[in-house]
Amino acid sequence: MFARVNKHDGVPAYIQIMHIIKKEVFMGRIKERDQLPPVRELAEIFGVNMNTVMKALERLQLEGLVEAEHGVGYFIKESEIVKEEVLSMIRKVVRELKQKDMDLEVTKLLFEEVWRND
Amino acid sequence: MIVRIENLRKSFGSKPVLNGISLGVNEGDIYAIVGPNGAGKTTTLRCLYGDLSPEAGNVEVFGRTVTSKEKENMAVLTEDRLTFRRFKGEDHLRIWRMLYPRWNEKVFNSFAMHYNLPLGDRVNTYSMGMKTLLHLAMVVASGADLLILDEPTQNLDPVIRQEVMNVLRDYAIQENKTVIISSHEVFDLEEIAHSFAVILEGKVLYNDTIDGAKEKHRVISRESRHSPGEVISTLGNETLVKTSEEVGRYPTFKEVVLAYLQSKKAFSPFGSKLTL
Amino acid sequence: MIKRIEALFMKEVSEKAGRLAVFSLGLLVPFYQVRVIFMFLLLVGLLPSDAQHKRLGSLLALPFSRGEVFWASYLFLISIVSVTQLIGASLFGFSPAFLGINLLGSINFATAYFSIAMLSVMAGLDNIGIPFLVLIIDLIMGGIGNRMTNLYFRFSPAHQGNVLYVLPIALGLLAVAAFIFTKRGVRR
Repeated sequence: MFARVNKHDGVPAYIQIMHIIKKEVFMGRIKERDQLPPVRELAEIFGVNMNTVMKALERLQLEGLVEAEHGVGYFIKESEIVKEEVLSMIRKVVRELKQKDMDLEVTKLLFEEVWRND
Repeated sequence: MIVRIENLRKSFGSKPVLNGISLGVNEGDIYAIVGPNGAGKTTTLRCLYGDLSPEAGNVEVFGRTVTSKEKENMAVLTEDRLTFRRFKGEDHLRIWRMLYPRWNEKVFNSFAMHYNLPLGDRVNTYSMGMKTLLHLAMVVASGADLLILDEPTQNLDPVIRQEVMNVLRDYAIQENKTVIISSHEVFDLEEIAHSFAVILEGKVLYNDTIDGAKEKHRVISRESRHSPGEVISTLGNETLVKTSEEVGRYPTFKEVVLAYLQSKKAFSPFGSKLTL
Repeated sequence: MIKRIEALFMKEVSEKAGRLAVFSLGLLVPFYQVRVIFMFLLLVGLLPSDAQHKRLGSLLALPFSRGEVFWASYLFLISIVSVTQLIGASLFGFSPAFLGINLLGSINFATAYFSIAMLSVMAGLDNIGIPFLVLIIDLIMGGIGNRMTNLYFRFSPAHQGNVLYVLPIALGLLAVAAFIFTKRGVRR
């Protein structure tokens, strides 16, 4: 389910892990109150040190996305994130772009440029 | 801390090789010692496992000075690989099995089978890559908690290289082993390492976790007038700076290593021979 | 500890099987003058040779300390020297007293020259040439003039005018070689 961390990228591994987990939550593949795999397992899945996983989980905890239950593990917290809304916005835009024969990579680049400069 | 090296000095004849190397490796860490050939990587490792006696400085492993008792818990892939003369693969195997109390035959066999190691043949008939694989197999099967690997990928072809590094990483994570790897192949190290030290001319130029280094540095455009922090060096038309400001972009591991090696360029007129 | 000595003995036997067989055969001749030659050839090929040819790294990367490597190699030498002496002497029917003096003489020689070869390598010289030179000088100095009046003859590790005089010299050399090797190693 989880993608591997790209070590050759500049983005620190723990931030990549946070992104990957967030993405899975948005996509609804991990649901609220679901338990995440144990830290050691996550370390193997992502191909990183356990400390790196811990750091990512601590940050996610600070952001209110996950909560730790002592001695049990980490769970996805119930929250008011606007998952559905965001996804349907993206779907709508993507559909329109596809109709205009836009290429994915070009779109990504445009998206980034607009995002940064807006 | 599993390994603590403090202010290590060593020279060969009148040529100083280590000029006060200090580094510490935590349990479960995969620690990369990066630097060009001749920077002092191998010498540092040889002092660590007691092959060389440093002139000054301190080496501690598992919190103690290294004796043969500690070495039962350390397995080393030496730079020159297996050099006992007239030894067959199985002769090496016998010795390792004898010396390492937590030797794991199963792990060794799966390696030997996968890479088709000709254990009945004399090792001097092996190719360097084959020697490396046999040696690595024994290092992993030793059951030691600290693995010391000097240029592990040097003689391996690219496909096997990738595979071996992945096996090493997964093994280290699963079994909570501590691994120290020296290499000048930044790409290979990036795949597997968690922490690193950049070494040049027997000195540590920078050490940190890889994530920590990425966080503490930014790559900004060379034209940018305002410098948000300490300039380490330039990379093409960009500049690597040490800063806590949210500017530019995160550097890759390769860029951090290169920038630090170049920051001392004035002292190495022929540049750094680093494979990127 | 036993395992480590066993492993080091195994390493020596596997690496040097041919040479060991030939030299041991030569060492069966129970006459000191013949044994000196084979003992010399044997001892320079053990630890001094590995040290000379930078092959100690492979050993010291394994769970051995420098002290263990030194003493195991020395023990290996003494074992072969003693066992061949015992077998040879029994084949030739030596008296126990004669055997005792010969055995001690052999051990003296092996100890002294093993140490000299190690000291030579550690000083940055070599494992065969310099020790051989020392042996020649030792033989010449001990051979000067009358055996009764040449004091050096009695202390000479090669001549062994008096095995009991040579013993402390051999042990002294061994202690110095072991100390330097353990403390500082070989600068190569």
